[in-house]
Amino acid sequence: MLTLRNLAVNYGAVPAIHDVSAEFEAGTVNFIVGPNGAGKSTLLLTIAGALRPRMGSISFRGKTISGMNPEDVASQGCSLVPEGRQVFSRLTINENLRLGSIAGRRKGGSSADTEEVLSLFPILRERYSQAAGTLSGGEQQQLSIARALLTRPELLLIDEPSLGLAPLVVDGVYEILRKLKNDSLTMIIVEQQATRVRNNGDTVTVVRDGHVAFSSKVSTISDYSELEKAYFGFS
Amino acid sequence: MKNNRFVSSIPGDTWLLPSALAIPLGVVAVGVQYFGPPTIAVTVTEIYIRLVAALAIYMFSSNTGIISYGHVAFMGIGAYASAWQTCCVMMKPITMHGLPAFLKTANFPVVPSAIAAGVLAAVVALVASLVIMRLNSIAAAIATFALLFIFQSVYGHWDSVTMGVSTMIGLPQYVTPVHVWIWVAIAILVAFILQNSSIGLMLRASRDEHTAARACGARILKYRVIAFTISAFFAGIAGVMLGHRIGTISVATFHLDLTFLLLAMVVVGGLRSLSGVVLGVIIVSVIMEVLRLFQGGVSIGGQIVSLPAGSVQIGIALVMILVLRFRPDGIAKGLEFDVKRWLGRSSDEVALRRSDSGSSAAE
Amino acid sequence: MSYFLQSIVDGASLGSIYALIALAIGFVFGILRLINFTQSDYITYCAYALIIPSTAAMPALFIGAWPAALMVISVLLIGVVLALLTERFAFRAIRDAEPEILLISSFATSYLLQHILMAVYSTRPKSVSIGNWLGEPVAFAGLRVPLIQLVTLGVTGAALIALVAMLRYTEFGIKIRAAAENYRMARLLGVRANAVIAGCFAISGLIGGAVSLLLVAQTGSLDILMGVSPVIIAFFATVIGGMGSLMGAVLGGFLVGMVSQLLQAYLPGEAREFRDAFLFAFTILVLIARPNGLIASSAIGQRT
Repeated sequence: MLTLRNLAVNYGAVPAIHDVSAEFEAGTVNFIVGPNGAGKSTLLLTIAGALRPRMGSISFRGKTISGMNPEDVASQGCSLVPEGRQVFSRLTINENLRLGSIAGRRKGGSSADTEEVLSLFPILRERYSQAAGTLSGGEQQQLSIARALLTRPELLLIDEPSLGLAPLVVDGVYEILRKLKNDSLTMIIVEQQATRVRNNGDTVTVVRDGHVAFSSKVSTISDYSELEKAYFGFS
Repeated sequence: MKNNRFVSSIPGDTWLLPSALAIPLGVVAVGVQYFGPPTIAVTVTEIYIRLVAALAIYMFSSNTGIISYGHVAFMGIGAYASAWQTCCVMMKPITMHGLPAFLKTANFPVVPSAIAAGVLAAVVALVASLVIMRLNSIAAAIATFALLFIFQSVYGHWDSVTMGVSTMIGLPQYVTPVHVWIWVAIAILVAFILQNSSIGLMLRASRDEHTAARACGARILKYRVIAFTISAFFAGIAGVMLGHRIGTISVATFHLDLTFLLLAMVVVGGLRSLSGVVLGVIIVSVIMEVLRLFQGGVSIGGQIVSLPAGSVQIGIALVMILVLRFRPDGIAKGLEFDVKRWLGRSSDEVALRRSDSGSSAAE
Repeated sequence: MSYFLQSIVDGASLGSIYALIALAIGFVFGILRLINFTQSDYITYCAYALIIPSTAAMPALFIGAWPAALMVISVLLIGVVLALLTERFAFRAIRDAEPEILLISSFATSYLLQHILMAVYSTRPKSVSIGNWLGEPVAFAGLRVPLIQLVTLGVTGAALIALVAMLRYTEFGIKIRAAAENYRMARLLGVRANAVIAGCFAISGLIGGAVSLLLVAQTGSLDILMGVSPVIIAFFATVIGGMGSLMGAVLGGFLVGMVSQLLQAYLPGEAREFRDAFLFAFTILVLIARPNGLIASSAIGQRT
């Protein structure tokens, strides 16, 4: 579904990613893990069109999307839940969701979608016309995911969904992600820790210093020490 | 060795760059003053006055990253202060009756007056910057712009000492190319010392880092104030020179047109290096003179070609817009003249630098 | 008492013009972090379109001679077209540059436009008579107020309400507010950047056209710099209100207009001439007291 070929990206003047190639299958949940500053977020932002690759290409459902504007990537069906949620804090929850459905409508979405999505997030319906800035961190994370779902994505990119949230709240977020997986939504989840990989992921890729240090199907990993070595850079 | 390009890292050769900038300008000044035609001497004097003003803006803006839109106000303050001390002693009690008694009835020597005028500009800047420099960089830039309008409003209406919007005439015309050059040389030196001092280094280190700037906020505030005050002194001096070059001053001189011209010079040359500012002033001045010539009408192959009025300003604005778009760091790209290469001290180093001239351009 | 009320009406009328311009500046600044100096040129160009190109002091009317409705529509249209042209050719290519570069670019572009106009019309101020009848005083709540002030209040009030309603209730308004808060995130959700930015410029141009008509009707004169001073003041109003907050811009505009008129009315005769100096000093003081403006827009001002 998504293919990265020899991707290299600069963040400002600094090379953040060099020569990353990867393949993600439809209907799978794929984890990208790696230490702080490894280039994980840069990778997601590049796929979503917010950063331009210096070299290499990205193809999504057989179509080259590298070099497209973020708004066009969104219309192609690839949606980002960014690091730190980034809900529009001065807009109401309703307005945040309406923004999500802009790209969704281009793909033939309807208001029925909003109902469907809200049924996953009852808390959002309760606070429908409240400013998003008044939500708690976990609620903002839900809003951010709901908003992304309304773009009717085929592929959901999620950047550190557990960042800054209490463990119980994180459990709730992953509960929702599991429901989405059951609807066979393809996901790429970036996390700093590999703790959630075993129970939730189909594949895992370790990114370190801007390149792929390890990549495997979760089901075939018998010994997690390989992954750990790659993560910490021992060879 | 390739870092030798950046003067701050080669203390042994410290005086090379300011000397390399100032000495040729001095040679030109002497040349046109004693051997050149008077019209050229006037042009060179004007260019050097702008250079002092542009260097003043550079002293503040290159270190802080805040572009000042208000330095022309300090030029005006300097020009008027010098006029109060040196102008038309016969007329002063009538035309400028609001002046304090010691100024109203006596005149003072021009050079101490110029310095006093610069100090007045610096004092005003000191007070203003204590307030303005607390703001973040965009708001501070706007606030410097407000200074210009405050100056216009105050000096334009303060009839009893500035004669309002009327032109003040009778300033002694003592400014020669060599005289301005001395101020150019001092300004180059001060700008150079400032940017290599711990003040300059701290300011530039904090320029792009909002968090860092916040972390050592009080000290950065102090350094910004110091840089602004010093730079206002030189702006004041440039204003004094301007007034005493033409012999007349008016509030309207110190407004948007001059602000724009100086900013164009600073932007075209590049705010990130001393050589850039010198280059910018010269390039824009040359473009200006050429356009001015064509605006007056030039005979080409028997045909008189003349550009419509306003071509000078339009031309410079276009140059500035193009530079901002295609080379936002200015023509000098933040690099200094490579003095050692000129002097031919090390030919193999030259080859090395040529081969990597693009890649090590960052400051 | 009636002197005070008179000053308040004057202040509200002036303030409403500043509020309108501040809103235009706020629209563009909110999204691009660009302080759009060319806003003053939208005003000036629209005003000069009323007369035929000429250097005379009493020029013949051009658009100004057309039937009122057609004249208004044409002037507004000119504002929109000019604003879209500046967006496309002056600002689009440098959209991602640093705020300092944007600021100085817009200063240079405005200077360029100003001097092009000057080359055609000369710097000589011109007198134009459109809507003379608007200068007639009318009795209003015990005061005698020039009709034009009431018209100004009515027009700007209606425009402000329409714009605020647009921002609040239409999808375009939601997109603008979202892009102003977090430009990149809005694009990631599929908000088309070019369309939203062009829309903001179009609104700025529209406001420029409306303000130019009100100013010409008030003063009966044209001046090359007629747009500069209100735009500079409005732009301080934006800062006072809190850059990036559109409601703040409106509030700041009214405040500055009000303070300006009250200074005019109550400063002692001698000091009255320095009104603008007091006004600018006042804006700087407000900034010191509230560095992020009256309506602080969190840390967003720092994000690019």
